[in-house]
Amino acid sequence: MLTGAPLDAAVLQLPSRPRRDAYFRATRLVFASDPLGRQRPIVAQRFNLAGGARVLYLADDQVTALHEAQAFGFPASSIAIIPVQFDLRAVVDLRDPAVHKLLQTDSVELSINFRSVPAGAPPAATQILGERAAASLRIDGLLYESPARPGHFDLAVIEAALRPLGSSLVVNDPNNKLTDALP
Amino acid sequence: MVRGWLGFVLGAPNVATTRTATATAFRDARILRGATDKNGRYDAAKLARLLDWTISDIAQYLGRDASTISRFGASPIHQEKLAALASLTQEVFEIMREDLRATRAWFRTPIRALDGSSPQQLILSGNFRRVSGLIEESRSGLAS
Repeated sequence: MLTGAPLDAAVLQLPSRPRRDAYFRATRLVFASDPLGRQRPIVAQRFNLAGGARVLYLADDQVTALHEAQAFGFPASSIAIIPVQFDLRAVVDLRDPAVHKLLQTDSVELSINFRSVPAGAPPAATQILGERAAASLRIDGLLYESPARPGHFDLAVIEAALRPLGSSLVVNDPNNKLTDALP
Repeated sequence: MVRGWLGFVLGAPNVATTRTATATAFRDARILRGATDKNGRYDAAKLARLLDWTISDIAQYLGRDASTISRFGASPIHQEKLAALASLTQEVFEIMREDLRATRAWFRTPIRALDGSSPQQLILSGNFRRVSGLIEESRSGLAS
């Protein structure tokens, strides 16, 4: 994948589309009262670095969200699956070959497990991409193949771009006392 | 009977079982104290017993010979690494609802988010950070 200034330039050219739907966030039950993760620590994840961009990860349906949670191997832990309605203005589909070409990457590089990167090595390509996309404030979502459930997809929501682009996330489940919105 | 992911039995609707489980949980909640000696130092052999690891395993984690660990397992030079492992164990124990058996099993189970390695394998091969990172991630949301 491109890096540095060429990556920043490519990010500005990526094709994006508005997307409006309800996807699902998996979280440990103990954190469910914070449905959009406002209080969550920013640890390294697929499209962000530790202490870097705030990226919220959603799955396309409940089963995919469960598969994602299962990948952590916590069989005896209670998990909450929270529906999140989103109205995003600029979602880039990372499964699109045109996007791969612009970024000079491929599906293999995009699916590498960022946790496998050795200590001291540069961050994973996806983490660099997510951070640069967040810095651009022009992209509010990255759609990608679910690593846990092939054939389904996940959405990485870039929170910094929500306000500039007029995008939003809503959790509205009053029966379970879960109500929140971003930005 | 409730069957959880991967077919784990989570519990049975039976008063005696519930009472036993509660007693076990109370006992288990004190287990990490059992990993320390009378001076409050972590003891490698006790921590190994807690995790159901061998002395050779814990020696490998500490980068020492097993015979050294048997004699000087609570040495000050091991405390930093033993404390890190104890802290990680405690976090997993809490995630597993204070179930020691599930905690031990988690350390042994191949984890997809770790490319199919078990936490124990990674810790013993010097990749403790990858395992502790996974636990940190679980506080932020569960996305692989």
